[in-house]
Amino acid sequence: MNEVLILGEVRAGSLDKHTLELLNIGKNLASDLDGGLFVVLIGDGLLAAAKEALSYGPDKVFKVEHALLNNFNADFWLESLEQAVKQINPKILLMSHSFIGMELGPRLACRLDTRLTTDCIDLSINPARGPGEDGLLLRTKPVSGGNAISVFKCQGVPQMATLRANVYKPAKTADSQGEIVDMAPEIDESIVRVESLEIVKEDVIALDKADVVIAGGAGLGDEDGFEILEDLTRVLNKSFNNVMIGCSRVAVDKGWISPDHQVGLTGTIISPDIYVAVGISGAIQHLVGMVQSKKIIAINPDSGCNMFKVADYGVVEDYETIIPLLAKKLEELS
Amino acid sequence: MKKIRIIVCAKQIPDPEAPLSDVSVDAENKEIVVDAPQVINPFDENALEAAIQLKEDTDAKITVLSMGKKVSDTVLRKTLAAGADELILLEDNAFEKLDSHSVACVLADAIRKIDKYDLVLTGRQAGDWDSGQVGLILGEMLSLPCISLARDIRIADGSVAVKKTHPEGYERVRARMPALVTVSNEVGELRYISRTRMLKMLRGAASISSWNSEDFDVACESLMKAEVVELLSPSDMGRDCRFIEGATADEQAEKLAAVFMELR
Amino acid sequence: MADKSFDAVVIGGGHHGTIIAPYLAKAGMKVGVFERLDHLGGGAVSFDDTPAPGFRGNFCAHFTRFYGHPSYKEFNLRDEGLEYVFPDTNEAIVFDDGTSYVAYAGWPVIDPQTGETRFSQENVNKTYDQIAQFSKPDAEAYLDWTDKYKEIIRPAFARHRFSVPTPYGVPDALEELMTNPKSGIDPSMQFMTAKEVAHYFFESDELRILLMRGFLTSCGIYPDDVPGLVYIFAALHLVLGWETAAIAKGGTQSITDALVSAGKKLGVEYFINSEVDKLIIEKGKAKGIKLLDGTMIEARQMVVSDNATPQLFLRMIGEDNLNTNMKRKVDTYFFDRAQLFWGTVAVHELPLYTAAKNNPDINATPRTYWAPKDLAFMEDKYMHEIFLLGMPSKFFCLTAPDSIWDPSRVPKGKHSLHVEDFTCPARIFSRKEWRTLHDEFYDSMIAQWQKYAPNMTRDNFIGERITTPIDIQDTHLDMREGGWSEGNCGGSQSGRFRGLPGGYRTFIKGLYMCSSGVAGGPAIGRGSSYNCYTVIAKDFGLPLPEL
Repeated sequence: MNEVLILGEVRAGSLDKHTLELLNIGKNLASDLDGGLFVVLIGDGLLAAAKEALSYGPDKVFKVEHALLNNFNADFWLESLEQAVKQINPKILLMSHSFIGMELGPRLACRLDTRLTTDCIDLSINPARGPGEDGLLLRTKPVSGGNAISVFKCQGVPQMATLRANVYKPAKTADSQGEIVDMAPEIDESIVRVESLEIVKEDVIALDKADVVIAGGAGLGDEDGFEILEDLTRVLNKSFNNVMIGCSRVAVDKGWISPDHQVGLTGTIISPDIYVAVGISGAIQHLVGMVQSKKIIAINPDSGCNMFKVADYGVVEDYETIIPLLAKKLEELS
Repeated sequence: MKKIRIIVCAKQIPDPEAPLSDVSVDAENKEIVVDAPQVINPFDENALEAAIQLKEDTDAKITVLSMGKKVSDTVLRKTLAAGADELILLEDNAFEKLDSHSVACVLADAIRKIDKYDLVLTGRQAGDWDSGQVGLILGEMLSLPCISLARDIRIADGSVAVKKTHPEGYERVRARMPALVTVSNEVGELRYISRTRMLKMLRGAASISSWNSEDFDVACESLMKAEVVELLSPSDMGRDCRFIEGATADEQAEKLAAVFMELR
Repeated sequence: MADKSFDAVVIGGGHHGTIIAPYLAKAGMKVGVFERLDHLGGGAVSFDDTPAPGFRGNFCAHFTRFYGHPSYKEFNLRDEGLEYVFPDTNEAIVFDDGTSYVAYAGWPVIDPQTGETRFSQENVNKTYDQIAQFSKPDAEAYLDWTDKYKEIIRPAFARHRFSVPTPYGVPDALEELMTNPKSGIDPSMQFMTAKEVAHYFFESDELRILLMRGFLTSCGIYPDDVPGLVYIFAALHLVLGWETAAIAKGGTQSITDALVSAGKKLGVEYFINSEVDKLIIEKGKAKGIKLLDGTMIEARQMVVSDNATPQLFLRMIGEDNLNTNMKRKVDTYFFDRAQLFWGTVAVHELPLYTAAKNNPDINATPRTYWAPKDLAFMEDKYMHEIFLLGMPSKFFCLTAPDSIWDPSRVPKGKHSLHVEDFTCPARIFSRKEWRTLHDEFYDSMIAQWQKYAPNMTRDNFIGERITTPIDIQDTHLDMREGGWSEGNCGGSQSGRFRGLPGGYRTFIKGLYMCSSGVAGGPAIGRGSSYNCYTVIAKDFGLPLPEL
């Protein structure tokens, strides 16, 4: 039992991007452990997704299917996953730090009497050897609002972690020698304790899907500042996919913009390719939400502000001056 | 209608709005040193706000539970001023730096001692370790129905109805009580507490009790500390800000535009 | 190899940095001043469009008498544009029972060009009558102390302000008074609390309240704190109105502008947005500075720091370079007094106090308190509530309707007032709580002000810019805990005891300190930079400054 098991998530019939990221890191860990890489999928009618998973080269894809698993219901899914994991008995179990992973992770860890580390940005196998040390997972995670990076080690089987989205590159397809294994969970209506009545769709900004986020804070001065950012967004959309507007908590508190735009501890935690912080000084509570972005560009007239300490590029200038000019230049270039 | 009993778990943490300069990493002792005042975790304040909203419509008693090696009653008294009825501080040297599972263990044992309750509320996560585990583990330990990420909570006929944040909007769910609900910030900020009320609560004899590990049935030997192998400061992550300069803003804009094109 | 080189490098273009720079330049030095922020002046700064469009508000200090500073004459600051106006009224308090007190300047200015003053028996008589409303013995005490002030204390005070502290054991100008039976000063006063001083001098609740509030104004000292001799007389001369009130036209920015203008004429180079990172020390001697952006600045002769202890000793020099005794001094230098809700409000009309029916002058006094006549509250609860809640339930609020005398700061027909009451150190509340406290202070202030001046309704307010300690702590690195004074000013941290051993001369050769963190203390126009220059002049054989 040196296997790495990852919980795959299926969206509209195919694997979601973050599952591919899990496959990538899972493969690395499995090879370090000299063990197999397994994927478990939960739902109903998963054959296509299972075949897709197989194309990334895992040794086994477990297909946990049941009519009751058609939509995500935490009680059914948790029970099914628990049964599957007990049967598969992996060394390591990984999930995305997603809506599903955030809910199932802690509850499953409790049921399996093991310890989970959530929202990790890196995972590796403990190089130390000795009783109780062999093959433990080292779990790297930003803490205290990104002001420190902590590496945790926990006992327990399986070794469990959830992985932050967009930190690892997605796996590439590989030779597939693996097999699909069907599993039938033993579940029925009686185990449901939380009844789902309906899902009400709202027009929300899914910041975690953004590739580029232009975020504004107190430094904008008033809500009109977001219009200037909108202009930049429109131009950037010609060169990038999914450019969205983000904001700091202060901007929401002041009523300049709706809360679904908020990045940070009390908003969304994201790691887009480019994060542009405009007039955001960089309180911990905000930094936690964006410090793992691939590239950070800070625009602020105060050269001493914290945002510059976490940024890759800095412009010390008033945003009302620089942003319209930048939009114009980008317009010319694109 | 019978009185509803709500338990709110509130963690005391250093102010998460503190600027970077107030935080330093003691790599040797693997400790984060934060030079900022202690506050109640903002999400736990949301949970308390949810409880107080319920109390406005229902006959309810709110008990706040807070756990740590030492908990400041000055910070936690604010919960009483806001509308909680009772404050129980779980203080013991053994409660320091526990991992999420062990924190949930201690809270579960304390809640078992309280015995009769209808609803356990926690924040969706805490602003220091950002784990988001304790609430859900606690629900499992107490074998309660678990609902996470609540943005609206109602009680009727022995059930709790919740609007739960969902990637596409929200989901309406319902469970029989007793139940555990983790609360998200959409519930709203903890209400304003008038100074007169705060003063009364700070000076007055409030219902505050302090339990150590002997006062309730907690198996200290089973508790585990979070094991930190290494603690790095984010500067070790190697971000070095390149300032884009120029004689004019126009020149700066041009260079910045080039950066965007490079990153494309 | 240094990027720039000066004879004297001044770290920090705050108030004292802007004072000492022209002195050094006049003595022939090539001087460079390096300031972290984007503007010079420290506490003597005003901002346009603050607190509302068309207004000009002081950021920090506004009660100043810079015309009395030796540099005013030395550098002809009057010609550089620093102009004062001198109201005849001085200090006032309005109580919640409709009574009031106005102090009239004992030494009004007779020549606004030079700031020359002359004793006015007429004003003293008026102040006497004001005090006599409350207590005949207090009015008599006022006359008695005024005599002593005139003959003995005033000259000593003037000598003390602009002199380097004597070695301990050698009495300084104020300490000498303790052995002079005519001065009325008893040695035990050195150790009295503000409350004890208030009871010692006055018998009426009114004067006791005013004096205790005066201690807060002058040095952030609460009733149970020990002010020490310097501040006893600083507070007394406030509440008894001995010295005239003075208002700098155009706000306190005019002080900075005049000093910088004089400095530039003498060749001083000023660099803003230039944060100093480290002091360069070679073989125990200060050789220059390194800026945050890596620029190296050579100091051929000296480095003068306008920083206080936290920045200079902990950051630029580094804790590792301090010996045990120094370290202990740095660690035990306290920062939990003098925190304020402080700022400017813009209004349509000035407050019309109900109490004006007895004395119309209180509607136009440069420093007007409104406060409850509740001595027990001031003595026992005021600070207690501040530390628990961030503000007292009853305000003892200081207001300053400066626009009466300086209409240049406001749009035509409008007015602005400075407002102040005390609060606790920044650490006691979170950032979110400070935001709430700010709003709560503003709301409570308006609600309470109306009880004294019914026209101060919310409709009368156009805007506000009131800072809380967290705002100050974030922008001013030496103002730990958000206090305005670079550290407490109690007896153990004021007068000759302020700062670290060595005072203006630090333990590093060629490194001097001129900030309000050394003897001289906080407030515009105090003596630290002048005295620091005196010390430098002696060490380098430069001309001594004129007094």
